[in-house]
Amino acid sequence: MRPMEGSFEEYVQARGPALLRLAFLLCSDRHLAEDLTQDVLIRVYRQWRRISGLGHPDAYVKRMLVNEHLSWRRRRSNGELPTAEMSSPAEQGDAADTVVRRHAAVHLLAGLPKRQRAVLVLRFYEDLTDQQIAEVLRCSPATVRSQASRALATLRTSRGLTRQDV
Amino acid sequence: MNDEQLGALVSGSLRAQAADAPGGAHLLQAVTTGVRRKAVIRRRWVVSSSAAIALAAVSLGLGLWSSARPGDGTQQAAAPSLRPSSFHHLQLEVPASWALNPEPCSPHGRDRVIDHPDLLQVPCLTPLTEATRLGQQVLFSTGRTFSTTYLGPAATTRPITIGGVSGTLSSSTNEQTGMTEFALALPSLDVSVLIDVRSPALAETILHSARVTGQ
Repeated sequence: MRPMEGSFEEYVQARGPALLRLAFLLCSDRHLAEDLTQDVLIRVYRQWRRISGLGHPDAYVKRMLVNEHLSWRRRRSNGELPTAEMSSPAEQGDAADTVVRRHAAVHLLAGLPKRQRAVLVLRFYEDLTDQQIAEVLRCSPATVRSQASRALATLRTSRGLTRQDV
Repeated sequence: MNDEQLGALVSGSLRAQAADAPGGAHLLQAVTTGVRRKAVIRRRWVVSSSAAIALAAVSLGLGLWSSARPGDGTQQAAAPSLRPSSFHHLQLEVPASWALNPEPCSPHGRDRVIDHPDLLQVPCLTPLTEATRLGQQVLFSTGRTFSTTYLGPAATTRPITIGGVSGTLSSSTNEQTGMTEFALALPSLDVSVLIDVRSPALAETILHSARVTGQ
C-alpha cells in the first residue's frame, strides 16, 4: 500500500463503526450496510489524498454514503418491509410501552421512502440542521422540511404508534 | 403526539436500532481486499481496452490505407516521414529516418535501407538469420530471391502485378523476432526486396507505395 494509506487506515479504524451505524440506519439491513460502507470506503480510498485534505473529511464521506445509498436503485433489495402487526401500546406498561413504540418506529422507518428515511436519520440521529441535510442531499432546505414533514406525518398516522393516542 | 414527542421517539428508536449495527471489526480488512480486487479488475480492463483500441486503430489504419490509391495523398498522410527509394526501376517509399546504405557489415541493430548491390554481400546479410537482430530494414537486391532464402517454408506466396510487371509477394512473421517480413520479387526487372519491420501496417504502407519507374 502507498504511504498515504496509513492515514486512511486510521480513518477507517476510527470512523468505520460510525459509518456502519449510519449505513445500517439508512438501509435497515446489516449485510447491505456492510456492503454499502465498503463500497463507499473503497471509493474514498481512491480519492483519499483529496478528501483527507478537506476540512471535514468525515462529513464528506457521510455525504458519499448517503448519496450512494440513495442511488443504489435496489440492486440488492433487502425485501424487509414492516408487515407484521405491532403490539398495541395500550396493552403495555410504561417501560415496555417505550420499547414497543421504538420497535414499531424502527419498522415504520424502514418502510419509508429512502429519501424521507435519510432525512429523518440525518436530522434525528446525526443531529444535522436542515441546511446541513440539504447540503448532503443536494437539495433545498425547503425540500428537506417537506420530506421530513411527510415522513413524520406517515409515522404519526401509523397504527403502531398512535393507537394509544386515539 | 406532537412533533416534539414524535421527534424524541424517532431519535430514541434510531439510537436503539444503531446498537444492532455491525461492529466493523473486519471493515478495514474488507476494504483493503476490495481495493486490491478493484485494482486488479481495473488493470485487466485497461489492458483489454488498450488492446482493443490498438486493434481498432490498426484496423482503421489498414482500412484507410487499403482504400487509398498510390499517390493520392491519403497514404502520405498515414506515413508522412517517408521518402522514395529506387532500385532497378522499382521505387518504394521508405522511412526517411532510416540509414541509407550504412557501412558494409556494420553491426545490425539500426533501421536501414540498402539499395546498393555492392553492399548486399552475403556476409553482411548473415545477421538476418540471428535472433538478436533488432533493426528494421528494406533491402533491395538482384540475383537472389529472399522468399526462399530468408522467409522460410512457412511463408505464403501469391502473385502480384505492379505497374504491369508481374512478380510474387511472400509474407511471414519471424517467430524469433516478431518481425513482419515481406519479400517482393519482380524477375523481369531482376529485383527483389526484403521488407523486415516490426509493424505490419508499416510493411503494408511500404509495399503499397511500390511503383515501376521508366524502364
